[in-house]
Amino acid sequence: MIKEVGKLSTGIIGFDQIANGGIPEGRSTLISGTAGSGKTVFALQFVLAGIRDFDQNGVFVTFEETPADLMLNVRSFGWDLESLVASQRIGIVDATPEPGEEAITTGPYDLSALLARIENAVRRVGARRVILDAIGGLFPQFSDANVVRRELHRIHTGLRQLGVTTLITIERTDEDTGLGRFGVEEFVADNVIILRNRLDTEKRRRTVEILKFRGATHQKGEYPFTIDPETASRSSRSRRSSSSRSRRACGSRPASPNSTRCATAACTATRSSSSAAPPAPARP
Amino acid sequence: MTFKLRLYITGRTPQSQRAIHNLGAICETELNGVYELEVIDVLEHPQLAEDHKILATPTLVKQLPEPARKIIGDLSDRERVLLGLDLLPVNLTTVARRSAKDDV
Repeated sequence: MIKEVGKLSTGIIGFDQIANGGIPEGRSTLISGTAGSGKTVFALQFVLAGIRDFDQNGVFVTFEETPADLMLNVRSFGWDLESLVASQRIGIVDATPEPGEEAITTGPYDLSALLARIENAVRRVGARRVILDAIGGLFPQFSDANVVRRELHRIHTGLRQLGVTTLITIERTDEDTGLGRFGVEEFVADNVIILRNRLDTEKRRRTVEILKFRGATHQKGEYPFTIDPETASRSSRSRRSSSSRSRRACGSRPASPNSTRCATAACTATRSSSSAAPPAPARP
Repeated sequence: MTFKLRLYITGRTPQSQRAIHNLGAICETELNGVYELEVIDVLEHPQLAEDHKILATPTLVKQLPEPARKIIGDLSDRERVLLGLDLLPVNLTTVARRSAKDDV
């Protein structure tokens, strides 16, 4: 039997099942979804599972949300990023624009400094898992989108040479057209995951679809999932031992009617065997 | 008024050399040699780039006089460098601003 590309567990049991093991190791995977579809939470859970269950540290490169905001926003899941940063389990690279700053361009440039910062953070904490969160946020910071695309391609290549596994999130404007703005899918198209958050008879319905994994197998179609702060802080190992509980938690909570609660909660099990399975009915 | 400048480069590439050369010429003629300049290679000091949120190289940072400003590129567009350093006379500034808008 020919061995396929290795996979890294995401700590989300249901997702690992539809991904036939997890995220392709040593590669970059694009996570595309509309605002509030759970991209950052998904990516962070991947890094936290690495630290908690596999002793693999991570680097978080943020292009839109400041590190301070990010840490505050995920506190509601019981995720304490501050101490993980302080204990050098997570390295943060802050690539957000500075407010009110207007850079003047005077000639050719590249983003070597950003690449050097990412490589420095990876080496400093010994990271195996890397997140580039909301790369669309890089484009408005520079006048030439072609330069940004070219440089993102170079960063993508640099990360591959480091041997780390990278999740790249990008916002798409609607649920059905294009993977993201700015044409970034052209260079990170090897592996693509789409998160959707549709309004269905006045309720939000979240689904995850693996569009493709180059050189690796996966299940096809959309699978419903929930974001649940209750299970977020539990390790996937302890969840495995109480799988009936997580199944119940998942089934009893389809798209939460409280969307703000959803948006600030954490990805839990994606546990469904058929692709077009409707979400379980909500408890009255 | 002393200018305090920092130039971030990545290695000794032709682009880095051009920026250093262009900046040297401007400092000599426009600042009459009264300035402090620090050149930082981000490959050697990535943490300094992290601390000051530098993404692009070359980047010239005007730390003083206020306001602090980032000037990106190899500094070959002399007029825009002067604009960034607040060294253009007022009437010229208007022209430069207009041309800056045209670029966008």
